[in-house]
Amino acid sequence: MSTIKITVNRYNPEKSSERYTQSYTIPYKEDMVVLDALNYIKNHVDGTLTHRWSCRMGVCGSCGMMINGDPKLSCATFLRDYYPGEVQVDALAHFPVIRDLVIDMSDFMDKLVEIKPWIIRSEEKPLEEGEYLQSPDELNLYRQFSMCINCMICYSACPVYGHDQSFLGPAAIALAHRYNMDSRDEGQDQRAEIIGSHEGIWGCTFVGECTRVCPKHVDPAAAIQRSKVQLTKEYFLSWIWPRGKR
Amino acid sequence: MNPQNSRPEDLLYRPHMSFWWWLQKRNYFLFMVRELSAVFVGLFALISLVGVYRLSQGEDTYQLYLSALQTPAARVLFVVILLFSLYHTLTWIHLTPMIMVMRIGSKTVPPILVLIASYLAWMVISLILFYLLMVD
Amino acid sequence: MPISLPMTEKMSHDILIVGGGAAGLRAAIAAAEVDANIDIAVVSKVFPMRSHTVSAEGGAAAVLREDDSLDLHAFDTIRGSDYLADQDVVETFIEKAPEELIQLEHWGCPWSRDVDGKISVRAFGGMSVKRTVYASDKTGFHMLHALFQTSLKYTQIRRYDEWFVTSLLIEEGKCVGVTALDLETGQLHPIVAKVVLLCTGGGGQIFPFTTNASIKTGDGMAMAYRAGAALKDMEFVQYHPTGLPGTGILITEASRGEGGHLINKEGERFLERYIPGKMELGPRDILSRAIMTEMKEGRAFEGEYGGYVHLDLTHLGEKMIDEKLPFVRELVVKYVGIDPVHEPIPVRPVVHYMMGGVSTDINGNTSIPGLLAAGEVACITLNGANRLGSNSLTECLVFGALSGRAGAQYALEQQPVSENAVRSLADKEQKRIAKQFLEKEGGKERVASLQEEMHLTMEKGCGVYRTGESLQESCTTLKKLRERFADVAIDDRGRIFNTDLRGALELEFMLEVAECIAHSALAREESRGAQSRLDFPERSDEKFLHHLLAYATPEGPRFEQQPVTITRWPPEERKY
Repeated sequence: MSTIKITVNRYNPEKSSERYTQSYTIPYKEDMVVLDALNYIKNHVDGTLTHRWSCRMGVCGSCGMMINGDPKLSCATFLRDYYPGEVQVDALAHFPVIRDLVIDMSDFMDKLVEIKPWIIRSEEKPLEEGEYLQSPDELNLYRQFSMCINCMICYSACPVYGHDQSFLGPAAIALAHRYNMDSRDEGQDQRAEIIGSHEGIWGCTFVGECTRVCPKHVDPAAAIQRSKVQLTKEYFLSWIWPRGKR
Repeated sequence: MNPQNSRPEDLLYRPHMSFWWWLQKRNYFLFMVRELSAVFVGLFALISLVGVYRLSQGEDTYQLYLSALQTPAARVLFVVILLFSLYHTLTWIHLTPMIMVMRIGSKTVPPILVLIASYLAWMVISLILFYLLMVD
Repeated sequence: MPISLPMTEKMSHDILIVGGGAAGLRAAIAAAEVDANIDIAVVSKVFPMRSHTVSAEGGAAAVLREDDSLDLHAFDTIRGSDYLADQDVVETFIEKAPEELIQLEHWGCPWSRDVDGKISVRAFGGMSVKRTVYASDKTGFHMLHALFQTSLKYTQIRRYDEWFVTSLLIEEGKCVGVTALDLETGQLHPIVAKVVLLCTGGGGQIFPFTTNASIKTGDGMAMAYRAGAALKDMEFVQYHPTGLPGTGILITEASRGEGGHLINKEGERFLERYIPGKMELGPRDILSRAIMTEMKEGRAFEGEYGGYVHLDLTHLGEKMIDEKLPFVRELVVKYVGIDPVHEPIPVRPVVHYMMGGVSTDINGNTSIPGLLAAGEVACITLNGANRLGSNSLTECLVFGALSGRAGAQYALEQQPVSENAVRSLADKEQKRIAKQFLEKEGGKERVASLQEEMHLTMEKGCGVYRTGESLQESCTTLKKLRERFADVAIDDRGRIFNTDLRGALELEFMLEVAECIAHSALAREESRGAQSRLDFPERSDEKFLHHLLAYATPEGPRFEQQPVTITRWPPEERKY
């Protein structure tokens, strides 16, 4: 029977303030993903292993973690890409760890609210009048940026966030951009104040790793740079043609 | 550590980012090289500005400046500057399609066209400058 | 586990919603819009964007087009339910459905559009006309994120993320709150509320092959059942015809809606023999049975995870698939290793949805005052014996909104609940959990092995095809499993984020719900909709045109009947 070694970087504040590694050798099958391995360990070997997961199909965003040094979704990463080598699993980088592979998400959840991720309009159309018309082309302008599953893998890859957690970060800014590009939204100015700050887009030095690791191809780096171009244009335009009058 | 009496925030393990983070991944290293290349581009600009200043100070001063630029050390420096400038230019050209979204009507221009246009623009401007500066 | 510290924070609310999926979030927003001063809590064992709504793919149905009519949607739903749906509920549903989808659009949901900018519709199983609104093939994902992000606007909604509700607090016959385990700290807290609204979803994890995520463990159903509320129509478990073998990952009905074919080993579109009128767009129960029959009669392929048939999309073309079914392509390439543009997809029926649930009225009221339910956890019933695809997402919106509003109105009329009153109830629950799990000595059963045995008996005895014998065996096995559960020992005795404990509590819920399902299926001696009994293969309106209400007793469920409300569509033969 084929086996594979999984080494987990663990943490239990009730036992020690330091982290420790623990290795497990488990049966291997070609169609197993890392999540399957972790579940096998938890169910049959060591019930104390703690990790988050839910949908197991790459859409809920729960299972982000470091796998051999790269941030990935454990449900979408196949063991066969590492077999017969060892697979090293660690909690998502740049986040405080609550226990084992479970990280503290409160910073991200706060940032999500900060960027006002909802349709902002001065006047709402009554429901009886039906939908706001939006052509497929208009939908395509923001569709890609709406695909974010909030897995926070991009934050793990971003060295700016790693150094300074006050940075708004790729996913939050990409979401702001999603709403800014939505033809139904009129909140660009409100969001510009938030993302056009040092903690916002101007903190980004365009490393581009966020885009490379994003499992949903949201391309947050593009969202941030385009926001930079947009806000810069707006800034200079506002000298000639103040916003309120446009 | 007694979890019973601690606040949840105090029980968190807070990771620390290493000073050598940029050596830990290939892409991080290449990013730092790209950022470093800006220094050399800036250096070239500075050297050019000094040249303008020397020119304003008279023909002799300017000739001294030009000789300084022809020393072996200076030639090595210029090779280094050229390499970094090329790296700088190529990386930024390749990032351009991601940033510059061009629309004709309601359709988006395919990114590959933006890339090709960037290369062409670079070639054309380089040729013009080459002609102006090198062809007497 | 320490006794809860004196509460420095107010844990008392007007309305407490358990579950942060489509129904829960819609209810929260609806409650917030009733009155700006209403204090709303949303308690979810996961962060809301992880709720299972996120996995829904195909679409949400409503009458939006000129070529459609409310009566037609009602008829489709009632016929799809094999005439067990309460028709007054259906009438309310189809009437409110369109405005809910428009409301979601106003809240930013990126519905797919026609060229003229109007919301697109697609064909779906059991629907006479195209009325399923969709957001590419990730409708649930987009709906959930639109709802969650919009809910962030309402500052009176207080969220308890990753708080696992373990029981309902019932005082003098009234629901006054819940006990919830804060997963991060391991502390159990009572949270009191004038109204509790359960939006905890279904329990697909009771079965081994399911589209459902790990979090679908029937929590709300079990808690309501234990508290004395009735569970209704539990025997009706929907098998989705096209899930991936092994993982159970959902391949949306939309793939058939857009023209996909189901092919057996002999290369034939076998549905010709079962439902020639609708073929691949037939209702799910009929299709699932057809595929199982093909498997039984040797006309299906054999694989590592049992039999399967082919879902063929190769004739649709790459452009169409990338435009309308991109997520399907992504999933199949990733998890099966083939490209559906060029090769057919292996599929088989997997458990997907529970038509049954906590018995409620149209406004979500259960038999316990102060306790409401909406979404998959509830059974009003809209879906009767079989649900039509794309009705469920709309159901969450319509009845989430109705019960959110009803709950808020009710709360406005109530006195605040005294926190001291529930202190002893909460202490009791705390001691139970400590004694049964955290401080347990000995114990030789493992959660995972009991769960596997539960899976085996449910699939064998309570699957697509059932017999009195197989069901009786399942009932007996489940009773034994529940007894053995008392001897369960978990590995993790820690406090901080104890998912081992959570898993044990979830299994306890699942065993209870599973037992109710098996007994209900045994009690219903007919075949109707999703229930197919080989010993009672015919539908019997004379004997069973009613709902079965199950009440918990120590010996198993006690049943009562509830008549089906018939308004304008007298039951007839279910023809397609």
